[in-house]
Amino acid sequence: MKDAIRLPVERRRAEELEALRQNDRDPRPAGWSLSPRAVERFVLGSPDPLEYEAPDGSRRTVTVGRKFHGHDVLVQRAIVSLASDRGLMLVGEPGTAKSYLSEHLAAAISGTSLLTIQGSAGLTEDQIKYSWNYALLLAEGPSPRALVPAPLYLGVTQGRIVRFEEITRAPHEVQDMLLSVMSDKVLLVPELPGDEGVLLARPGFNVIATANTRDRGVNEMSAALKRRFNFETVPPVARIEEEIRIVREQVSEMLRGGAAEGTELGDDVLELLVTTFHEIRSGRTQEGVPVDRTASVLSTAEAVSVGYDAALHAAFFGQGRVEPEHVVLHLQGTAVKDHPEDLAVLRNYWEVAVKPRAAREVGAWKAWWQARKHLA
Amino acid sequence: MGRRARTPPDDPLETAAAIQADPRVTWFPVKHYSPACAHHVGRLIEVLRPDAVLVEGPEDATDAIGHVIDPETVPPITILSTYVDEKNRFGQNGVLSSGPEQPARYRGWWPLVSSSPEYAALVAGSRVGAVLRFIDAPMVATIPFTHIRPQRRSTAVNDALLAENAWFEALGRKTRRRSFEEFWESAFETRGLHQPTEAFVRDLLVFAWCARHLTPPAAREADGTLLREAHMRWHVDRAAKEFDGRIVVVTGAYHTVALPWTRGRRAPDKPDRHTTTLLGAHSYKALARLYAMHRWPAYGHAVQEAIEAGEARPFDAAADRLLVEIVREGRARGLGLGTADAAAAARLARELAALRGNAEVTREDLLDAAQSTFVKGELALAGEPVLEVVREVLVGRCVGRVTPAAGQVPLIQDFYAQARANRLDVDGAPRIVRCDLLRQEAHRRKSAFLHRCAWLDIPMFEAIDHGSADRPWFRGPDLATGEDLHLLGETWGVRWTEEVDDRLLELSDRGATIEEVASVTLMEQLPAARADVARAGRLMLEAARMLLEEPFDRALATVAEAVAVDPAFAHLVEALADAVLLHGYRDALPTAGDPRVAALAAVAHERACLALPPLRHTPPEEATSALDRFQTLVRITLTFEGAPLDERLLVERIREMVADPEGEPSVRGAGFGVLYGFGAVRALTIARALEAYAAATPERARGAGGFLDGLFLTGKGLMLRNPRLLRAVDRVITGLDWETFKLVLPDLRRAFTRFVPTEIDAIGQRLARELSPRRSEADFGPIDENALRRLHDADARVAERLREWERPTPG
Repeated sequence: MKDAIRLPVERRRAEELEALRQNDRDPRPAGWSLSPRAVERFVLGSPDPLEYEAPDGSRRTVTVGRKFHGHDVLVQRAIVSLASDRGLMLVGEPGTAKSYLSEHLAAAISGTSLLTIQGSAGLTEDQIKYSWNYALLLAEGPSPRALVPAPLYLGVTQGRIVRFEEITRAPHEVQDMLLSVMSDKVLLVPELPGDEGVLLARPGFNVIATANTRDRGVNEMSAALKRRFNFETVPPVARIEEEIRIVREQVSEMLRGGAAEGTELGDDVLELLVTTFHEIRSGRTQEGVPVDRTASVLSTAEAVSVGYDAALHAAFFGQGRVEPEHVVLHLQGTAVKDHPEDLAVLRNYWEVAVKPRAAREVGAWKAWWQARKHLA
Repeated sequence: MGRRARTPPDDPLETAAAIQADPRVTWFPVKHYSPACAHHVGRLIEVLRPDAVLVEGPEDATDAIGHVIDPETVPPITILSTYVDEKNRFGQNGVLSSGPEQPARYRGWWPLVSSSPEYAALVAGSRVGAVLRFIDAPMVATIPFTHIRPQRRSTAVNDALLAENAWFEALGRKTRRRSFEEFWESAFETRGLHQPTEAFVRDLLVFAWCARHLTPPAAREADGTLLREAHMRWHVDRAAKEFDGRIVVVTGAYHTVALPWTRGRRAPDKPDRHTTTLLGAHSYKALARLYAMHRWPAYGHAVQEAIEAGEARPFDAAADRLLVEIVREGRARGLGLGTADAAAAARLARELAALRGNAEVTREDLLDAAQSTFVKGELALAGEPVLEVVREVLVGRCVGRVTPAAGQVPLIQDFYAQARANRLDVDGAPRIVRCDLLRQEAHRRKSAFLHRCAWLDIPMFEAIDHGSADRPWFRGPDLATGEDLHLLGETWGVRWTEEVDDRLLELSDRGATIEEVASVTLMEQLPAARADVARAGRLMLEAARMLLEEPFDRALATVAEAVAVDPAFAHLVEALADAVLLHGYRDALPTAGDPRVAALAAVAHERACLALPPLRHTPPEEATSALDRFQTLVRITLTFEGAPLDERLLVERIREMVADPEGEPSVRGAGFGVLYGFGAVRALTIARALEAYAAATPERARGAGGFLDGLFLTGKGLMLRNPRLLRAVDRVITGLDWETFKLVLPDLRRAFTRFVPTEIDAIGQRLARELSPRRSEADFGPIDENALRRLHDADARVAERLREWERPTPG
């Protein structure tokens, strides 16, 4: 059993990171745990198993699997951006694995993915930089002891990657607070006297921000802040086979160590789920028939979520094998969020795309068609 | 040339070693457009000082080599070989040309840029006093393979053989390279440049051997590779006998690994008087457009310059320079890029190169760095303006020059002479050129020249305000589309571009002057227009406005031929309208008043009249355009004075057209309107025809609206003057049940839009009189209280109903 609902990447992939570190012969930028090439291998996978010495002194081998299934070039550019004096801004549709990529990059480069700021309308400066232990502050006055560091403070002082999720949801004045830290690489704590109040960023510090295009886009960011970032647009997964693989891997990983581990989620069922998402997202079936798009985002991340819920359902209420109806049961909760009209879109999809395939007895589409009763 | 086995070793390294061990011939493999290859081959020739340098290129261009290496010639330049198949040797006349009597034309291009290894070899060879020759088969010999078969392409220089094969597919996957170009840049440019020449050549031979051995041999037979290689080998054998010293043979690497074991044989087809081989200036823009394997000429140029300048890391230096150029250009376009961005991009490019294991910054590193650093936002939204600048800078605006000693291509010479004569600037600045067609002969000549250039797609025009839809750089009377014929002059947006010469060069096999080329290209299209009056008519108008005498005469004859066979009413009316337009179009065109044009109009009129009866079968969706043409025919019949047009025939045929009660109602209505105008039908007949709709089934009753629409289009006076028809209209409308009325309503509405408001008033008044013929307002007696109350109640109910109708529909 796992000791947490979800472990951070650096703990989940500790073996791989250690193996990469021990086998890393390439130069590392100052403050980085791994060289850029090893970081690339961590994210994109390495075909050959790596041998390394485990903490108990034994020799082991581990295969570094591919974690991000987007464009390799995008990952290379992202890694190199983080080695430069500019931050990395990942933009794209919701559910395109921006946070996932950012988490893995931070874990590989800094050894931790936990210096994370979550952008929101209520985000304040002290949640980003630092706040105070007011008891100590009143007792001793401003001192490093009384200071409560926030992720940016830790990133600057420890030379690590700070992740700023959904940066565009934060108020503009909070966003712009990053300006001086990112350009001058200095964090000022005016309450502290003398040099204590001037924190020079240690090598290895940088920022990965993410912004999704369905919320407030990056157009509203100040030009000054934009100039401190290199931008990478993360596109949705283009190929259905690739998306099936991602959903399969991620659902398995989520199930690992839990009560539902071992639940069977066949590729035939995954194909139904992913094809449905893919076709509704693109507005066209594989046969070229136009279908309506849902207002809610049917991303790969949402497909993973549906797959995971369906697996739990099959484990606790079924026979340990995910059937099409388990997926449809949970599909509705994902596809129809605050847009009730999306239910009609789904039903229409079943009529236009699923029914003809069911009639032709193509794969598991007949069962998919029969499960439409759950779209109530 | 030493003795060697008939078959090459079955191993890439042994093959490379065998090729490099040749004591007489230095076989030098190249990729076309490669700064690294250019660098190595130039250096090697300087060291070896061979007796002869033989280069892959069309043998019939060997005489032009002196001009290629002339100090006054500046790349990019191109050798253009053309062949006009007057005798239909290749059986493609009528297949690749517009008709069997039109010769098929074939072209092959051999562009040379400063980073072409072929160019570098020729320059170095000339410096050491070697005999220089092109050794590839002439273009005419490759026509059956490259132009006629499915893989036909217009360029003779191609690196596809190296790139498109199973070997590179596997290698690309293994090395995670996105494209052949990316792999090549990494392995053979940035790395290869710094290798010793011998090692560079060895590696390239090994690579090419693998590429060749994973290509099916049948493909080499099919695309003419074997024929060309045998021909090149024939040249090498000949040179080996002729010269005692060393010979350097510079060919594409794909060929180099086979040439030492190839049996020499001269290609059977030789250039004849129908072959033309020219040397012309080229532009990077044209190069990037024409050759998929060389999309970024300015990049190679920058690298080449950095190598020549002795830069230790020329690719890095070139990337820095181009990134700065991108930033400068981007800033000029308001993209908010600054020097810091250029510096950041340069750093990123270097880091990317290091991560990817590239010895220096490759073109892909540069492109990736530019995208990451310069695009500030989502790629789909913020990317395009930036990437457009990147593309433009990497393509470049460089234009080559050919030494005057080579003589200028006659067509290019004529173009510039004409431009001077017509006072058109060719300095690249945008200009507005106006032509006063009525008053000045010089302006008419200028107009004709501009129309010829436009017809030939010479890229020298720029959009103007209020330009026409299909020609945004032109405003003026457009004979071809019939737009703006009221205008007296033409306005042209003219801007010379560096691609003008490329296009002229491309057209040069069709004649020596713009007039001749325009004539030839227009006449080439005539055979295909023989059965299509509309197309032939369009060509006739084009010829007229370009002031092309012979093409006009031929187009006129073609239109006459087409009129005789084309049964389509629409086409015939179009031809008639074209002829009438030309005949009466002021004095700006020499066709004005031409009796031949008038005769054509008469024939087209007769044929159009004969084609009238089938018009009754017009589908409803085409009725509007059919009515337009019908009106045109009638208008021309009544107004054309160039030749007597047969009114009686027109009336007879309209009678036939309207006789069928099942015909398209709007066409019938329009026919009746015209017949009434000619006094060929009585109002009573029309009224009966209208009432017949209402008396029939509800489905047919719907036709009443269309009938009235057509009738009002051509004879609305009838409604205004004739009470019988007015009453019939009233009876028909009031006799419709509610559901049918709703169906007819759209057509009725459209029908009544034919009247202006004062006419509507007049109809209303007349109708009121007709409906109350014996009572006037004064006849009404006093109204009693009950009647007044009933009227008041009725009024309230109507008001309530109207309010209900005005409420928005739920949902």
